[in-house]
Amino acid sequence: MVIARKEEIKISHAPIAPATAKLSLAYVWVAYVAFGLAALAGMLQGMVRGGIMELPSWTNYYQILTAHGVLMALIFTTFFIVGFIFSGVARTTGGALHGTALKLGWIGWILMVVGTAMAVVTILRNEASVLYTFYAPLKASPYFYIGAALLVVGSWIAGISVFTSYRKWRRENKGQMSPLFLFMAVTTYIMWIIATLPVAAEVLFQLIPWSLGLTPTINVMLSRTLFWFFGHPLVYFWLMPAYMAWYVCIPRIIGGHVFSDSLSRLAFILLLLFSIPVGFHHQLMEPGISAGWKMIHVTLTLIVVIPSLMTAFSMFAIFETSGRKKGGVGLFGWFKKLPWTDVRFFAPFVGMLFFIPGGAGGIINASNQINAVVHNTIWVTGHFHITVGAAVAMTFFGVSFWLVPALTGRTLTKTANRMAMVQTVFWAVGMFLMSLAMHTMGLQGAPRRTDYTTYMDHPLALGWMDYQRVMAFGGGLLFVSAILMILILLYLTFYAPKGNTEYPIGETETKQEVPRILERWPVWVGLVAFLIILAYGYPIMEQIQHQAPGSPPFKTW
Amino acid sequence: METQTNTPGQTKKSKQEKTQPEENLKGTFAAVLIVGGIILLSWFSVFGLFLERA
Amino acid sequence: MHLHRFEKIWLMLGAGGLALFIVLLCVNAFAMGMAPPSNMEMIDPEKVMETPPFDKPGLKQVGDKEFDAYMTAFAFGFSPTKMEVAVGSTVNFHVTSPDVIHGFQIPETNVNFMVLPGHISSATYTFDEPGEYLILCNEYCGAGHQVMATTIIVK
Repeated sequence: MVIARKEEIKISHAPIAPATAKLSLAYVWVAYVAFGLAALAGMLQGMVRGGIMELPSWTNYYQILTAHGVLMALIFTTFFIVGFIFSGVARTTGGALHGTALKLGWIGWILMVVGTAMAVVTILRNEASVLYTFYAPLKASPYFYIGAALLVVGSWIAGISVFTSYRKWRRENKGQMSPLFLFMAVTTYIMWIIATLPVAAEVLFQLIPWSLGLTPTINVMLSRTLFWFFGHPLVYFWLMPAYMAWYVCIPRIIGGHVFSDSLSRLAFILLLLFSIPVGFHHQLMEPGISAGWKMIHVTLTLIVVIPSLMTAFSMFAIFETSGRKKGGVGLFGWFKKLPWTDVRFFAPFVGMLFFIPGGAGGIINASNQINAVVHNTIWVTGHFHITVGAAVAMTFFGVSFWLVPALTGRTLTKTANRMAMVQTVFWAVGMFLMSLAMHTMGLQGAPRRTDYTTYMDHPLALGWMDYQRVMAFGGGLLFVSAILMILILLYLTFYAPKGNTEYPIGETETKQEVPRILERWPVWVGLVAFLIILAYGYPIMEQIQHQAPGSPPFKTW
Repeated sequence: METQTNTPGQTKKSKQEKTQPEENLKGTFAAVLIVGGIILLSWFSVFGLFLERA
Repeated sequence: MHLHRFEKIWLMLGAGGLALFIVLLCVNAFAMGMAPPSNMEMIDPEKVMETPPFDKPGLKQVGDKEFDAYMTAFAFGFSPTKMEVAVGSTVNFHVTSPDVIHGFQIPETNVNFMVLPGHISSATYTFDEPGEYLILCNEYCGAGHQVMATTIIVK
């Protein structure tokens, strides 16, 4: 009896019920195992490219590059996002996922883990050094593609689980606007499921039959179009959960309020609408797509900047209003009043700072002919290291520092907070040095995705060497930071003192009226479909009807 | 709070909201203008590089 | 939906800035002829080596100081390996691949495009400065990707 009552008390204090916490933690930890391995691979790449070390003969640069890209960009992000969203959905719908949602959550986890294992094994066996973009006609083992498909399908099931929670909430709270976090989670998954359909089609109907030898050749152009149909919304799938933490969790952490409920929702709806029909901006420098269609996608791409401009305003507004309430005066006096020693704020804040040049660089990349200056140069690598590798990753780190103890019923101690601050500084400095070197070299034409080379001692390439060493140094700092990160998380999972950790969910200061239309999903899904048909209908039809002679498979590594 | 669904109360509230003076967001405005400046500056420098290299 | 006055101004400025970018890009691309390389010609990737003019890659003079460069990009090199033109020459590059996807980039110029099997990529550049220009592959194409480069000498 006594024990049971104790259990009960503990449950009532925990922000998330144990069964849901276990599920969320399972996702988060797979994410960080992948992250650790990926960080090791990344550090090695930096050292090799910097000319500091050579790899042993049993591996090669492109194998570890594939491992780094797949584990960081696909595994770490997806697992963390799914785990984080589950926890937040539970937190905002009463503290627990219901039975069906929980079951679907575990089915998704199993599929995603099996898919990940298949992809990792094929990479380790050197049967899939095709990088995380797996461009045909480079041909990986069929198991690599099947693994990728399982990963995607698993994430769909996780999404369906969130939809069931949402439906249940709506049924039980008729006439009310859904909690902001839940709304954003649903928007993110709708975007994700629509955006992954084309890559699923590419993998299932093109790559798998072709890699099994069932079809002799592949339509390369179509496979690339389907990939980038998915590839750009993929980056928004990374960004939207970070925005969720920014819009919903950060205000609470800094003792402020959500700036505007409806504008936050509107920003997410705009992200849903405009992050998908933009893929050609990744294909600006290739033949087979007319200049006119490229420009249409470029225009749509620049529209998707607007919700990010809204986000910038909202973030500063949250900081200013809360800083002013704490006594900050003058134009920027509020800035000093922010909780600078609280890593739950500091890490995502540094991430936001990185997102300013990151966003500016993104606009440049997408600017049609200007893309020629930077296309496939290491500038692009620098770009996504400050966007996903800093803005998104540092937000995820910041979230992890409270999410993991909230899930394990432990506390983020002062010492752990201090260690996390050190981790954040190492990550920030490492990323700053590395990405600055990458951006600079890229403008001089140094290519991305390339092993150490001097191009027969060409003077131009020799001039890149110093930057490559800076890059390697930054990579070293990042690796130290990654190790620290894993150690802190181990501590928070297994050793930190028991206690209650807040799951920060912000609210608006006054009750705000939200336009009903924002929650009419058929309207938005219909609009997405319309925009997709507008942007892709004709080009894809053309690519199927007037396709170039197909390509047989190649294994060139 | 959460079960409050009667619409008259809500409209009264939103009217109240509109008559409230706007929050002081001068710092926010200055900050986003700096962000905008960074975007313009970097875009035009790379555009310049593109034109120079043509 | 309530929008703060400053946010309204900010979004208008932002949208205006983006519109300015779009207008400048369109004028530059379509009125000044600087659109990104978007050649629509196709070729059978399995027959590149026997399809003229790619069966004999090389420079072909087509005008006073103007050349067509028919090139193949393959794992892991470019053909022809040696090219030389006089200062002030305009070169129209036409490149295709008999195997996987490659990149074609002359650093510090705007010549930068993808080479897809099945397609012919084109770009034009006028070499006003003498020097040994590096041409490199900037799309991962396999184990020897980092050695895939050649030069064009401008005298």
